Amino acid sequence: MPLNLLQKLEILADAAKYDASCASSGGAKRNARSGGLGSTTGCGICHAYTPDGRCVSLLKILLTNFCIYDCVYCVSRRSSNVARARFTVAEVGRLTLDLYRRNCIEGLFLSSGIARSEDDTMADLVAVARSLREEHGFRGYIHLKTIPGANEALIAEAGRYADRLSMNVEMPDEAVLKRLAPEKDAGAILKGMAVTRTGIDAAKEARKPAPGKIRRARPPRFAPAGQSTQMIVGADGASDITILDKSVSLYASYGLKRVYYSAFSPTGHPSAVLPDHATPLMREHRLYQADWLLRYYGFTLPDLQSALPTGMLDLATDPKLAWALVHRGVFPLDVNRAERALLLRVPGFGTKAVDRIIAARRSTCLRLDDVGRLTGALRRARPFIVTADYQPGSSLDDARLRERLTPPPKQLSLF
Amino acid sequence: MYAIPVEKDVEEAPFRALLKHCSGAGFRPDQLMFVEADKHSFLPPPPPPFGEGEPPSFTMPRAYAELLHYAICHSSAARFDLLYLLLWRIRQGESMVASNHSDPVVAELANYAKNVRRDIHKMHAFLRFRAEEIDGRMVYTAWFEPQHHILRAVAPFFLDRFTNMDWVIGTPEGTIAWQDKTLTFAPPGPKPHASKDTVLDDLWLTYYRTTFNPRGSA
Ligand code: SF4
Repeated sequence: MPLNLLQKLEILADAAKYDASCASSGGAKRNARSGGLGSTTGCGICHAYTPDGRCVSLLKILLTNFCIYDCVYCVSRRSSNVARARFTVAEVGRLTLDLYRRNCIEGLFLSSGIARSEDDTMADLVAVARSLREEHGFRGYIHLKTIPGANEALIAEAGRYADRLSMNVEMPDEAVLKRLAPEKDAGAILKGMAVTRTGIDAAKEARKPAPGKIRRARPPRFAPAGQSTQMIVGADGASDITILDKSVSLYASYGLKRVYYSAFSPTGHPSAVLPDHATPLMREHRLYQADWLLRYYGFTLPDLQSALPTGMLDLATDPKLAWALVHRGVFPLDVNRAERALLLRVPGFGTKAVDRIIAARRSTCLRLDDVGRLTGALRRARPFIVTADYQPGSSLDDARLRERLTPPPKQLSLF
Repeated sequence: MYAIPVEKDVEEAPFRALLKHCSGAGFRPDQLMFVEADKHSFLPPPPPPFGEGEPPSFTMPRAYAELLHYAICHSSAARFDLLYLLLWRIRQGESMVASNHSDPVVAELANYAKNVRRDIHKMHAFLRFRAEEIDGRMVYTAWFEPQHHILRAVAPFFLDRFTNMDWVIGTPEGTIAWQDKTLTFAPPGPKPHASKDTVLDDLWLTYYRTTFNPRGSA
């Protein structure tokens, strides 16, 4: 009996949910005032949240979960006995447009198993994006997975239609990838990301107006929201520092917008090479926090390392607090005088609070109450700061500081 | 002491002009009370020629204008008084005060602005259209109950995105409709009963149910 659309959706949304990304942010703003349907605002919108706090922004589905590869960590691998289905190009277009018109989604995140060959799969993904853009005038967000080993011309075409492209590196260590995903080629993955980066950079360069020249028609876009990748965490023995080290080099080499961390979960079939338990979500959360510190808070890998004797992030303490506790000599910092880079190291101060402190101290000398109005986390910051009317006294030396500042475990909300 | 009536969903430009009139007339904040136009006040309005002619021209600092932009949409009855108080202090020489978020008045207004932005964002995100055929054409209708006076503030988002559809958004405070490429604001209508829409009722729910985090189930 052929599957109906709802049954296919159930199978192919289920198979797609292992990709952590649901972001619809980044890239240029577009709207439909001059025709077509849809817009992008530059910052993503979550149109719903799952009960465990995850953002639902895009229609995230596979085109098909038939796959000739046998990656052990994946439910869609060829030796897995899950139900299989395949959407047509027209079906994906209709689903996307129907949900978009009702304001349920920002757009489409389309990935696929490799049903026949890498090139065929990539060509099918491109066909969906082309049809949405050219036949239906769709101006919402499109995130396409690119397939390692697919022809460069196909990736170039994907870049013309998609806002974001991504290719998953999967494992921080190539030898492990070889073992767990024997058909995947780590070299082809890196080459694919390099091709995408070249496309993005070239399009950016071409769109800069040449000095002294009359502006000609703007060249086509290429993935204006950039590229991202994903690593599975906890399927192998890699430490958090190894993972973060890999992230740092990926960000630098491929100009990535995001590295996603996806906590490993068993696929329901016992495996000799994989753990039989899920990686705690808290580990994923701590990796995102550390990743944030590296990208927006001026932390370096050795900084983080200095607070991680085992190479693993502390599940009970966020990485910034962990660093501050090891480097108590840096504190307390005078919020009326300390430079921005140091204020960013104070537990409880986010980038926004730091900017507000710097703006506020131009017109006033900050007291503790004032700081309380500038950050929502004064309790955490208190032992590390000095204000016009307050000194932390001996609390910084308190051996129990860590316990006092580590909140009891609670339900996680991920960003 | 005078009462100054203001429409609760007042637009930005006329409200700025009103503030300038008050400032030009030299009123101290404690001489005025802004009241929402549908609420009764025993205080008289300022005597003529208050509000006549062009208001005095001066520029409001950018940080102040940014606070005002969102804070006037807040549902708190105190928003207009606080905005005037802050403007008055700026005019008295505290020219940087609007960028000082440690100031209690600025902190309160910034908090209003944050809540309003959040409300706008929620309406952009969680409003759902139901497709209905009315007189042979597809009309997308939605009902939403925002917490603040944001009907005008949300319109551009829906206009940018759904330009080629006909849609009507109802709220307890008013209605926006985009039909035949014309945007109209109208008084509130009754809350419609939700019509059947198979995309929302079947497709979307199936997707939402399926896309849950795998870790719970596996
Ligand atoms: S290529 Fe590997 S990870 Fe991708 S769908 Fe096939 S089995 Fe899964």
